[in-house]
Amino acid sequence: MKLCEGVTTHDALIIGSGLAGMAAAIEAHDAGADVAILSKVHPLRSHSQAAQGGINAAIRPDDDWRDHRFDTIKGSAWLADQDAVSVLCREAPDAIWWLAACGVPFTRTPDGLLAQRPFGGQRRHRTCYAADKTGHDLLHTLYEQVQRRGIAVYEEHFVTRLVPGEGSWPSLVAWDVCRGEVRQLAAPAILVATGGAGRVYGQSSNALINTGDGVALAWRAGLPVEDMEFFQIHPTGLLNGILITEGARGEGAWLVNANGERFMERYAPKFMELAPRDQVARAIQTEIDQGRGFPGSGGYVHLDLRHLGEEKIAARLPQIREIAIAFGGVDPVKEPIPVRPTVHYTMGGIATDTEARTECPGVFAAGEAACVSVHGANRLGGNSLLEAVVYGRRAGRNIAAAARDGRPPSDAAAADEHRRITGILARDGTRRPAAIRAEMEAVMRRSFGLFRSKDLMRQGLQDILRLRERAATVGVQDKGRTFNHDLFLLLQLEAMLDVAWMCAAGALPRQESRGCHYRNDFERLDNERFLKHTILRRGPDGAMELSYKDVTIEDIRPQAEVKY
Amino acid sequence: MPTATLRIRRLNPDASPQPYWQDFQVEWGQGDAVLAALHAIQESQDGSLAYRYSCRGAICGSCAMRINGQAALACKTQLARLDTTKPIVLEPLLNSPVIKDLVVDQGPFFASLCSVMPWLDPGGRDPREPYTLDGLMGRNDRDQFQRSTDCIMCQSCFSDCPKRGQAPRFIGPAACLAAFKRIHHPQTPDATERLRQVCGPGGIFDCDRHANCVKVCPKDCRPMRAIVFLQRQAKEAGVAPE
Repeated sequence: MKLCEGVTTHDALIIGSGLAGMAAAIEAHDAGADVAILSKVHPLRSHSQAAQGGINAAIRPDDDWRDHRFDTIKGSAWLADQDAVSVLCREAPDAIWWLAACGVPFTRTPDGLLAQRPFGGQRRHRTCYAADKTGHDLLHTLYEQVQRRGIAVYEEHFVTRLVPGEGSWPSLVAWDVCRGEVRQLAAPAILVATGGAGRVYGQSSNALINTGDGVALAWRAGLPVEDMEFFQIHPTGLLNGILITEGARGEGAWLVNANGERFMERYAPKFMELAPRDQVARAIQTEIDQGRGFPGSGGYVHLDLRHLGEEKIAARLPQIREIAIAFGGVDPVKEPIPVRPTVHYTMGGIATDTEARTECPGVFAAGEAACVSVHGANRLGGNSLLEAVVYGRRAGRNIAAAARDGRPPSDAAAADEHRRITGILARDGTRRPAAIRAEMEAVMRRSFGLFRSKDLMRQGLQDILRLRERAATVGVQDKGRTFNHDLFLLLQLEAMLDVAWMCAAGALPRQESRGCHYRNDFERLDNERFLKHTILRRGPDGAMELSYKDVTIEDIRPQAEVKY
Repeated sequence: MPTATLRIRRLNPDASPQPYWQDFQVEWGQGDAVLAALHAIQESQDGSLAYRYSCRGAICGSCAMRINGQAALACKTQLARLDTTKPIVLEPLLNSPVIKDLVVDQGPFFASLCSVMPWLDPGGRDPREPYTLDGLMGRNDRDQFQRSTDCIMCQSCFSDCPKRGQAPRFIGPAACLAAFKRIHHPQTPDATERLRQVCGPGGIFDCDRHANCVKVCPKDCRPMRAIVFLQRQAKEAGVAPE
């Protein structure tokens, strides 16, 4: 591994090249800043493009952003900050038109208007879409606009350290994976937009790269992280975790158990298949656990699209058909799709305000890596792309406007990080990270899945701490400089173990059920004690320090339950 | 469990500039893709094996490689659909320098893409104005436009295009497809100018119609069809070369 001396500077740096990162880069560039993006993959490989169903905005005459806001807050199990949700929903229509102007080929109605489909937990047809590959079209379109502006992209640069400025600009240390070099970059403003961490569970709809690197970076740098116990579990994944969009249910697909019953009748008679994700996911798991699922592969239920007909499936859900055939082995035109819940979204993240600022001057966060918090304990479908765009753009404007006084730091952090990585490479490579990763995934599924309880979570926390100790002793077989895949995996594992610890540390003391945090031993919402955000930060001795922060309540009074 | 042999073309530039072949045996089950077999090798046999991946669901375009002599996505290629009585031959994509093992330099591919300026410039139709694709273009163009938006930039067609191999000035199928998308976008302000621009040397008229791009595309984007449509359109618009 080569150490590059000196510090490269820009006006602003963005870690992560998904939707939030690129939206921010475009806005920052347009505000006149010399902005650069760093990503551990090429931007087009980012996970944003896996988003299928769509992006919400109240743009119909019969809709109002305040209704969108109410649905979002209710769906969040009252945990979302109401000021942050106001920003999200009020700026949503403008975000849609901005995306359309960038070139996103949104699906249109026969009248030529933007088409909108119904999504879970919402009272209007509010979700704009581009067939069932909305994220793909958004990501590719924004990348085109990044290219158009000639914005610098450090591709395949894995950021391994974030350094808050102490009397100087904040900086970061990046490992150039192809060249095997470590270098430091600094800017008056750094945005963390690295996405989620669903891979800590293994069974997940997330891309294999969603390892929570940015959240771990921020936590290690002493920044507060928020609500990390809330991992959304999507109701309908293929048996290998790959997502089948909620748009399928939005188009009318049924969930059916082994007895042929549309079982959602028993759980959410009004909303049926379009109840919020946490409720649908628990319903499916309950059916499986109580013996009404299909046997085999750990149990599953059917998602039946057949009554929609081939024409509608081909027009509205073409990718779903392709995915079901290629990865599930069934053609949804002819057979129901075997599905079960899959870990989908990280509601928690780096604590920010509505300007995407973190506690640390010059450090910002946006998108899934951040917690502003607009999703609270449960995100509504169609709100994640929206958050990435709305808060990505806000972050972009703010990093461009960040004060340029101060100066770059020394390159001491790069030397330090180079020493650390060289040390990892020098470790004995006979013990490998893969076994630890597999154990971590199993612990997370067992202890921090759809149904949680004190004993399981306590055991889970102990297991995670034990795995962290073991991880410090594993090594890599590959000692080379060029594209060291082995080292890449080990660094990701380090991040995931930090995230797993955060989840455990936040979940155990939360003695209630709220959104996706559902406890068998505390089945009710407890607004008196826990209408609060969990805040975690790294203490000086490396300990996990826990505190709570009030939820911002404006006009919508939290209720004792979330009923649909 | 059945076993398969993966015969992988390897290159470790840190050790030697010479590529070599190496065989690995892996156990596999129903539903396992080539990508899963690569993970199994990397985890338990050779940690230095390098390859790219991200979504493992055929949407991110990372894991294209040559599988039994043809570009394909490792995540989408099921072992059950290959003849596992013979070694499965894995090689890096063609028409790009190899960085390590199955990882190639994506620079030439993205440079070709950038050369057609695939982005939408401002000044065209206001997206707030109602429009339908059907109202703006014929059925074939609409179908091809939608296919052009499906491209995941996996570089498979660029790899397996014989013309690109013979004459690197040719921008390749994916860039032509991106040009089609750009030219047919309902909000494009300057379609004819963009069309003229891809008619020059290295552009759409360099295509020799081998049709490998249509065959290898994992998303059925049919780049050569887009090229044929653009060529016809260029002639009609009078911007085709003599």
